[in-house]
Amino acid sequence: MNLDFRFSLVAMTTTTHDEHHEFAGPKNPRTPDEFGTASHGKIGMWLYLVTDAMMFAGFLLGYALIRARTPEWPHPADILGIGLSTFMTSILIVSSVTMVIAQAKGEKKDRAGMLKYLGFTILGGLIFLSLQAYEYTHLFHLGLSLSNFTGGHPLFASTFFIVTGFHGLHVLSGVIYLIVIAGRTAAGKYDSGNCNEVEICGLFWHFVDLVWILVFTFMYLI
Amino acid sequence: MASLTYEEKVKTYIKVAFILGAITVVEVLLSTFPHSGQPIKTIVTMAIVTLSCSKAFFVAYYYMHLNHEKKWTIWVAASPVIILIYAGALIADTPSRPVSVYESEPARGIIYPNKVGHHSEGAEHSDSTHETESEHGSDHDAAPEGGE
Repeated sequence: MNLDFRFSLVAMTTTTHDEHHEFAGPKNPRTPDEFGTASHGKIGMWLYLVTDAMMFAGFLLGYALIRARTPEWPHPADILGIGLSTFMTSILIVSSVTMVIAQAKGEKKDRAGMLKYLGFTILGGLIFLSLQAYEYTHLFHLGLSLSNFTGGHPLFASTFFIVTGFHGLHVLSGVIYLIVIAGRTAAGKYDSGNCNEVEICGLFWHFVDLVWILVFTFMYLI
Repeated sequence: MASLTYEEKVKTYIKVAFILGAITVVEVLLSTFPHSGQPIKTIVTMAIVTLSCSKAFFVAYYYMHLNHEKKWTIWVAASPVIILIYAGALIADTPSRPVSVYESEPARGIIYPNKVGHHSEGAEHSDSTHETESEHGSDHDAAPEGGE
Protein backbone atom coordinates (compact mmCIF):
# COMPACT_ATOMS: atom_id res chain seq x y z
CA MET A 1 0.00 0.00 0.00
CA ASN A 2 1.68 3.18 -1.07
CA LEU A 3 1.93 6.39 0.90
CA ASP A 4 -0.60 8.37 -1.14
CA PHE A 5 -3.25 5.72 -0.65
CA ARG A 6 -2.63 5.60 3.09
CA PHE A 7 -2.86 9.37 3.15
CA SER A 8 -6.16 9.27 1.31
CA LEU A 9 -7.59 6.83 3.87
CA VAL A 10 -6.56 9.11 6.73
CA ALA A 11 -7.89 12.16 4.94
CA MET A 12 -11.28 10.50 4.48
CA THR A 13 -11.79 10.52 8.20
CA THR A 14 -10.70 14.10 8.67
CA THR A 15 -12.10 15.90 5.62
CA THR A 16 -15.62 17.16 6.13
CA HIS A 17 -15.93 19.10 2.91
CA ASP A 18 -14.67 17.38 -0.18
CA GLU A 19 -14.29 19.65 -3.16
CA HIS A 20 -12.29 17.36 -5.37
CA HIS A 21 -14.24 15.56 -7.97
CA GLU A 22 -13.75 14.57 -11.54
CA PHE A 23 -17.29 15.36 -12.63
CA ALA A 24 -17.30 18.74 -11.08
CA GLY A 25 -14.55 20.48 -12.92
CA PRO A 26 -12.61 20.52 -9.65
CA LYS A 27 -10.74 23.63 -8.57
CA ASN A 28 -8.07 21.59 -6.81
CA PRO A 29 -8.18 18.01 -8.05
CA ARG A 30 -6.55 15.36 -5.93
CA THR A 31 -3.13 14.36 -7.22
CA PRO A 32 -3.81 11.43 -9.55
CA ASP A 33 -2.68 8.10 -8.14
CA GLU A 34 -3.80 4.49 -8.50
CA PHE A 35 -7.38 5.66 -7.94
CA GLY A 36 -7.14 8.43 -10.52
CA THR A 37 -8.75 11.59 -9.22
CA ALA A 38 -11.53 9.76 -7.37
CA SER A 39 -12.41 11.74 -4.26
CA HIS A 40 -11.64 10.52 -0.76
CA GLY A 41 -15.33 10.09 -0.10
CA LYS A 42 -15.82 7.97 -3.17
CA ILE A 43 -12.94 5.66 -2.30
CA GLY A 44 -14.31 5.40 1.24
CA MET A 45 -17.78 4.51 -0.03
CA TRP A 46 -16.35 1.82 -2.29
CA LEU A 47 -14.47 0.29 0.64
CA TYR A 48 -17.66 0.32 2.72
CA LEU A 49 -19.65 -1.26 -0.13
CA VAL A 50 -17.08 -4.05 -0.39
CA THR A 51 -17.59 -4.94 3.28
CA ASP A 52 -21.35 -4.76 2.87
CA ALA A 53 -21.19 -6.94 -0.23
CA MET A 54 -19.22 -9.51 1.78
CA MET A 55 -21.97 -9.53 4.38
CA PHE A 56 -24.71 -10.11 1.80
CA ALA A 57 -22.55 -12.74 0.11
CA GLY A 58 -22.24 -14.52 3.46
CA PHE A 59 -26.01 -14.44 3.92
CA LEU A 60 -26.70 -15.78 0.44
CA LEU A 61 -24.04 -18.45 0.75
CA GLY A 62 -25.47 -19.57 4.09
CA TYR A 63 -28.92 -19.67 2.54
CA ALA A 64 -27.67 -21.72 -0.40
CA LEU A 65 -25.98 -24.26 1.85
CA ILE A 66 -28.97 -24.64 4.18
CA ARG A 67 -31.18 -25.11 1.17
CA ALA A 68 -28.83 -27.60 -0.49
CA ARG A 69 -28.86 -29.79 2.63
CA THR A 70 -32.61 -29.65 3.16
CA PRO A 71 -34.50 -31.93 0.76
CA GLU A 72 -37.95 -30.69 1.83
CA TRP A 73 -37.21 -27.15 0.73
CA PRO A 74 -40.19 -25.79 -1.25
CA HIS A 75 -39.82 -24.00 -4.56
CA PRO A 76 -39.88 -20.33 -3.44
CA ALA A 77 -42.13 -19.19 -6.29
CA ASP A 78 -44.86 -21.59 -5.12
CA ILE A 79 -45.10 -19.82 -1.77
CA LEU A 80 -43.78 -16.32 -2.34
CA GLY A 81 -45.01 -15.73 -5.87
CA ILE A 82 -42.85 -13.75 -8.29
CA GLY A 83 -45.27 -11.17 -9.70
CA LEU A 84 -44.90 -8.67 -6.88
CA SER A 85 -41.16 -9.18 -6.48
CA THR A 86 -40.63 -8.73 -10.24
CA PHE A 87 -42.47 -5.42 -9.99
CA MET A 88 -40.32 -4.47 -6.98
CA THR A 89 -37.21 -5.28 -9.04
CA SER A 90 -38.44 -3.01 -11.84
CA ILE A 91 -39.05 -0.22 -9.34
CA LEU A 92 -35.47 -0.41 -8.08
CA ILE A 93 -34.01 -0.53 -11.60
CA VAL A 94 -36.03 2.54 -12.60
CA SER A 95 -34.96 4.33 -9.41
CA SER A 96 -31.33 3.63 -10.32
CA VAL A 97 -31.93 5.29 -13.68
CA THR A 98 -33.51 8.36 -12.06
CA MET A 99 -30.56 8.52 -9.65
CA VAL A 100 -27.94 8.69 -12.41
CA ILE A 101 -30.06 11.20 -14.30
CA ALA A 102 -30.25 13.33 -11.13
CA GLN A 103 -26.46 13.29 -10.98
CA ALA A 104 -26.20 14.20 -14.67
CA LYS A 105 -28.63 17.08 -14.09
CA GLY A 106 -26.46 18.26 -11.21
CA GLU A 107 -23.37 18.26 -13.36
CA LYS A 108 -25.34 20.42 -15.80
CA LYS A 109 -26.03 22.78 -12.86
CA ASP A 110 -29.77 22.18 -13.20
CA ARG A 111 -30.92 22.32 -9.58
CA ALA A 112 -34.64 21.94 -10.35
CA GLY A 113 -34.06 18.95 -12.62
CA MET A 114 -31.79 17.35 -10.05
CA LEU A 115 -34.38 17.79 -7.31
CA LYS A 116 -37.07 16.34 -9.54
CA TYR A 117 -35.11 13.18 -10.29
CA LEU A 118 -33.94 12.80 -6.70
CA GLY A 119 -37.64 13.01 -5.78
CA PHE A 120 -38.44 10.22 -8.25
CA THR A 121 -35.67 8.11 -6.72
CA ILE A 122 -36.96 8.66 -3.19
CA LEU A 123 -40.46 7.82 -4.39
CA GLY A 124 -39.15 4.59 -5.91
CA GLY A 125 -37.54 3.65 -2.60
CA LEU A 126 -40.71 4.39 -0.67
CA ILE A 127 -42.83 2.35 -3.09
CA PHE A 128 -40.40 -0.55 -2.73
CA LEU A 129 -40.59 -0.38 1.08
CA SER A 130 -44.39 -0.18 0.99
CA LEU A 131 -44.59 -3.23 -1.27
CA GLN A 132 -42.21 -5.12 0.99
CA ALA A 133 -44.39 -4.29 4.01
CA TYR A 134 -47.44 -5.47 2.06
CA GLU A 135 -45.65 -8.68 1.07
CA TYR A 136 -44.59 -9.39 4.66
CA THR A 137 -48.16 -8.88 5.91
CA HIS A 138 -49.41 -11.28 3.26
CA LEU A 139 -46.79 -13.88 4.19
CA PHE A 140 -47.56 -13.58 7.91
CA HIS A 141 -51.13 -14.55 7.07
CA LEU A 142 -49.81 -17.54 5.13
CA GLY A 143 -48.09 -18.76 8.27
CA LEU A 144 -44.56 -17.52 7.72
CA SER A 145 -42.76 -15.74 10.50
CA LEU A 146 -39.14 -15.16 11.44
CA SER A 147 -38.98 -18.39 13.44
CA ASN A 148 -41.71 -20.57 12.01
CA PHE A 149 -43.50 -21.71 8.90
CA THR A 150 -46.68 -23.68 9.34
CA GLY A 151 -46.54 -25.04 5.79
CA GLY A 152 -43.00 -26.36 5.73
CA HIS A 153 -39.47 -26.05 6.98
CA PRO A 154 -39.13 -23.11 9.42
CA LEU A 155 -35.74 -22.20 7.98
CA PHE A 156 -37.43 -21.32 4.71
CA ALA A 157 -39.21 -18.45 6.45
CA SER A 158 -36.26 -17.50 8.67
CA THR A 159 -33.79 -17.17 5.82
CA PHE A 160 -36.28 -15.30 3.69
CA PHE A 161 -37.08 -12.68 6.33
CA ILE A 162 -33.46 -12.24 7.43
CA VAL A 163 -32.07 -11.69 3.92
CA THR A 164 -34.91 -9.57 2.51
CA GLY A 165 -35.31 -7.70 5.81
CA PHE A 166 -31.63 -6.83 5.91
CA HIS A 167 -31.90 -5.57 2.35
CA GLY A 168 -35.03 -3.61 3.29
CA LEU A 169 -33.05 -1.85 6.03
CA HIS A 170 -30.54 -0.84 3.36
CA VAL A 171 -33.35 0.58 1.23
CA LEU A 172 -34.63 2.53 4.25
CA SER A 173 -31.12 3.87 4.92
CA GLY A 174 -30.80 4.79 1.26
CA VAL A 175 -34.10 6.69 1.29
CA ILE A 176 -32.99 8.67 4.38
CA TYR A 177 -29.61 9.33 2.73
CA LEU A 178 -31.38 10.52 -0.45
CA ILE A 179 -33.67 12.82 1.54
CA VAL A 180 -30.61 14.44 3.14
CA ILE A 181 -28.97 14.90 -0.27
CA ALA A 182 -32.21 16.32 -1.69
CA GLY A 183 -32.31 18.80 1.19
CA ARG A 184 -28.75 19.90 0.45
CA THR A 185 -29.61 20.19 -3.22
CA ALA A 186 -32.57 22.41 -2.39
CA ALA A 187 -30.22 24.56 -0.28
CA GLY A 188 -28.03 25.12 -3.34
CA LYS A 189 -25.11 23.07 -2.08
CA TYR A 190 -24.42 21.59 -5.52
CA ASP A 191 -25.13 24.62 -7.67
CA SER A 192 -21.46 24.80 -8.66
CA GLY A 193 -21.85 21.52 -10.52
CA ASN A 194 -19.71 19.66 -7.98
CA CYS A 195 -21.87 16.58 -7.42
CA ASN A 196 -19.35 14.46 -5.59
CA GLU A 197 -21.68 13.89 -2.62
CA VAL A 198 -24.56 13.06 -4.95
CA GLU A 199 -22.42 10.53 -6.76
CA ILE A 200 -21.37 8.91 -3.47
CA CYS A 201 -25.00 8.67 -2.41
CA GLY A 202 -25.75 7.24 -5.85
CA LEU A 203 -23.11 4.55 -5.33
CA PHE A 204 -24.95 3.39 -2.22
CA TRP A 205 -28.31 3.45 -3.97
CA HIS A 206 -27.06 1.48 -6.99
CA PHE A 207 -25.49 -1.02 -4.62
CA VAL A 208 -28.90 -1.54 -3.01
CA ASP A 209 -30.29 -2.19 -6.50
CA LEU A 210 -27.43 -4.53 -7.37
CA VAL A 211 -27.90 -6.57 -4.20
CA TRP A 212 -31.64 -6.84 -4.78
CA ILE A 213 -30.96 -8.26 -8.25
CA LEU A 214 -29.08 -11.12 -6.59
CA VAL A 215 -31.53 -11.49 -3.68
CA PHE A 216 -34.42 -11.65 -6.17
CA THR A 217 -32.67 -14.44 -8.06
CA PHE A 218 -31.71 -16.53 -5.05
CA MET A 219 -34.75 -16.01 -2.83
CA TYR A 220 -37.54 -15.96 -5.43
CA LEU A 221 -36.54 -17.35 -8.81
CA ILE A 222 -34.44 -20.46 -8.26
CA MET B 1 -17.49 10.50 -18.30
CA ALA B 2 -16.89 14.19 -18.29
CA SER B 3 -16.39 14.07 -22.04
CA LEU B 4 -19.92 12.79 -22.66
CA THR B 5 -22.76 15.22 -23.11
CA TYR B 6 -25.84 15.08 -20.89
CA GLU B 7 -27.91 13.62 -23.73
CA GLU B 8 -25.34 10.90 -24.41
CA LYS B 9 -25.22 9.91 -20.75
CA VAL B 10 -29.01 9.72 -20.41
CA LYS B 11 -29.25 7.73 -23.64
CA THR B 12 -26.76 5.20 -22.27
CA TYR B 13 -28.55 4.95 -18.90
CA ILE B 14 -31.91 4.31 -20.51
CA LYS B 15 -30.45 1.79 -22.94
CA VAL B 16 -28.92 -0.11 -19.99
CA ALA B 17 -32.26 0.03 -18.15
CA PHE B 18 -33.99 -1.63 -21.11
CA ILE B 19 -31.30 -4.33 -21.20
CA LEU B 20 -31.81 -4.92 -17.45
CA GLY B 21 -35.58 -5.11 -17.99
CA ALA B 22 -35.20 -7.56 -20.85
CA ILE B 23 -32.88 -9.81 -18.84
CA THR B 24 -35.34 -9.74 -15.94
CA VAL B 25 -38.16 -10.87 -18.22
CA VAL B 26 -36.02 -13.75 -19.52
CA GLU B 27 -35.11 -14.73 -15.95
CA VAL B 28 -38.74 -14.79 -14.85
CA LEU B 29 -39.74 -16.84 -17.90
CA LEU B 30 -36.93 -19.30 -17.23
CA SER B 31 -37.98 -19.63 -13.59
CA THR B 32 -41.47 -20.71 -14.68
CA PHE B 33 -39.97 -23.37 -16.97
CA PRO B 34 -41.33 -26.77 -15.90
CA HIS B 35 -38.64 -28.55 -13.89
CA SER B 36 -39.15 -32.08 -15.03
CA GLY B 37 -35.70 -33.57 -14.64
CA GLN B 38 -32.61 -32.81 -12.62
CA PRO B 39 -30.26 -31.97 -15.54
CA ILE B 40 -32.74 -29.46 -16.96
CA LYS B 41 -33.35 -27.92 -13.56
CA THR B 42 -29.61 -27.47 -13.02
CA ILE B 43 -29.13 -25.91 -16.45
CA VAL B 44 -32.04 -23.50 -15.93
CA THR B 45 -30.73 -22.55 -12.48
CA MET B 46 -27.25 -21.89 -13.84
CA ALA B 47 -28.72 -19.81 -16.67
CA ILE B 48 -30.73 -17.68 -14.24
CA VAL B 49 -27.72 -17.12 -11.95
CA THR B 50 -25.54 -16.17 -14.94
CA LEU B 51 -28.16 -13.70 -16.19
CA SER B 52 -28.46 -12.26 -12.69
CA CYS B 53 -24.70 -11.76 -12.43
CA SER B 54 -24.70 -10.04 -15.82
CA LYS B 55 -27.37 -7.64 -14.52
CA ALA B 56 -25.25 -6.90 -11.46
CA PHE B 57 -22.31 -6.23 -13.76
CA PHE B 58 -24.32 -3.78 -15.88
CA VAL B 59 -25.40 -1.85 -12.76
CA ALA B 60 -21.85 -1.66 -11.40
CA TYR B 61 -20.24 -0.87 -14.73
CA TYR B 62 -22.61 1.80 -16.06
CA TYR B 63 -24.60 3.19 -13.11
CA MET B 64 -21.77 3.04 -10.58
CA HIS B 65 -19.42 4.40 -13.26
CA LEU B 66 -16.82 1.67 -13.00
CA ASN B 67 -16.35 2.10 -16.74
CA HIS B 68 -14.69 5.44 -15.96
CA GLU B 69 -12.71 4.42 -12.91
CA LYS B 70 -9.05 3.53 -12.63
CA LYS B 71 -7.82 -0.02 -12.30
CA TRP B 72 -7.44 0.06 -8.52
CA THR B 73 -11.02 1.15 -7.89
CA ILE B 74 -12.21 -1.66 -10.16
CA TRP B 75 -10.09 -4.18 -8.24
CA VAL B 76 -11.49 -2.94 -4.93
CA ALA B 77 -15.05 -3.10 -6.28
CA ALA B 78 -14.55 -6.60 -7.63
CA SER B 79 -12.88 -7.96 -4.49
CA PRO B 80 -16.08 -9.46 -2.94
CA VAL B 81 -16.08 -12.12 -5.67
CA ILE B 82 -13.29 -13.73 -3.67
CA ILE B 83 -16.11 -15.31 -1.66
CA LEU B 84 -16.71 -17.54 -4.68
CA ILE B 85 -13.58 -19.47 -3.67
CA TYR B 86 -15.08 -20.08 -0.23
CA ALA B 87 -18.42 -20.93 -1.84
CA GLY B 88 -16.74 -23.41 -4.16
CA ALA B 89 -15.05 -25.17 -1.25
CA LEU B 90 -18.30 -25.41 0.71
CA ILE B 91 -20.31 -26.58 -2.28
CA ALA B 92 -17.72 -29.26 -3.03
CA ASP B 93 -17.97 -30.40 0.58
CA THR B 94 -21.78 -30.42 0.72
CA PRO B 95 -22.46 -33.87 -0.78
CA SER B 96 -20.36 -35.52 1.93
CA ARG B 97 -22.48 -34.00 4.71
CA PRO B 98 -25.71 -35.42 6.11
CA VAL B 99 -28.87 -33.69 5.01
CA SER B 100 -31.14 -31.89 7.44
CA VAL B 101 -34.37 -33.89 7.69
CA TYR B 102 -37.32 -31.77 8.68
CA GLU B 103 -39.78 -33.34 11.05
CA SER B 104 -43.24 -31.97 11.67
CA GLU B 105 -43.70 -30.06 14.91
CA PRO B 106 -45.66 -32.75 16.80
CA ALA B 107 -43.08 -35.33 15.77
CA ARG B 108 -40.35 -33.17 17.22
CA GLY B 109 -42.37 -32.67 20.38
CA ILE B 110 -42.37 -28.90 20.04
CA ILE B 111 -45.36 -26.79 20.99
CA TYR B 112 -45.32 -23.17 19.98
CA PRO B 113 -46.99 -20.87 22.55
CA ASN B 114 -49.13 -19.11 19.95
CA LYS B 115 -50.40 -22.39 18.56
CA VAL B 116 -51.26 -24.30 21.73
CA GLY B 117 -54.96 -24.44 20.90
CA HIS B 118 -54.28 -25.49 17.34
CA HIS B 119 -51.95 -28.31 18.35
CA SER B 120 -53.63 -29.53 21.51
CA GLU B 121 -54.09 -32.96 20.03
CA GLY B 122 -50.58 -32.74 18.67
CA ALA B 123 -49.39 -32.22 22.24
CA GLU B 124 -50.94 -35.50 23.29
CA HIS B 125 -49.43 -37.12 20.30
CA SER B 126 -46.06 -35.61 21.09
CA ASP B 127 -45.81 -37.55 24.36
CA SER B 128 -46.02 -40.85 22.57
CA THR B 129 -43.69 -39.58 19.89
CA HIS B 130 -41.22 -38.57 22.50
CA GLU B 131 -41.27 -42.04 23.94
CA THR B 132 -40.60 -43.37 20.49
CA GLU B 133 -37.67 -41.03 20.14
CA SER B 134 -36.33 -42.16 23.50
CA GLU B 135 -36.48 -45.74 22.35
CA HIS B 136 -34.36 -44.77 19.39
CA GLY B 137 -31.90 -43.06 21.62
CA SER B 138 -32.71 -39.58 20.27
CA ASP B 139 -30.87 -36.78 22.02
CA HIS B 140 -33.53 -34.16 21.33
CA ASP B 141 -33.56 -31.68 24.16
CA ALA B 142 -36.73 -29.88 23.06
CA ALA B 143 -39.05 -31.48 25.58
CA PRO B 144 -42.70 -30.40 25.18
CA GLU B 145 -43.36 -29.60 28.81
CA GLY B 146 -39.90 -28.40 29.60
CA GLY B 147 -39.20 -31.94 30.68
CA GLU B 148 -35.87 -31.21 32.32
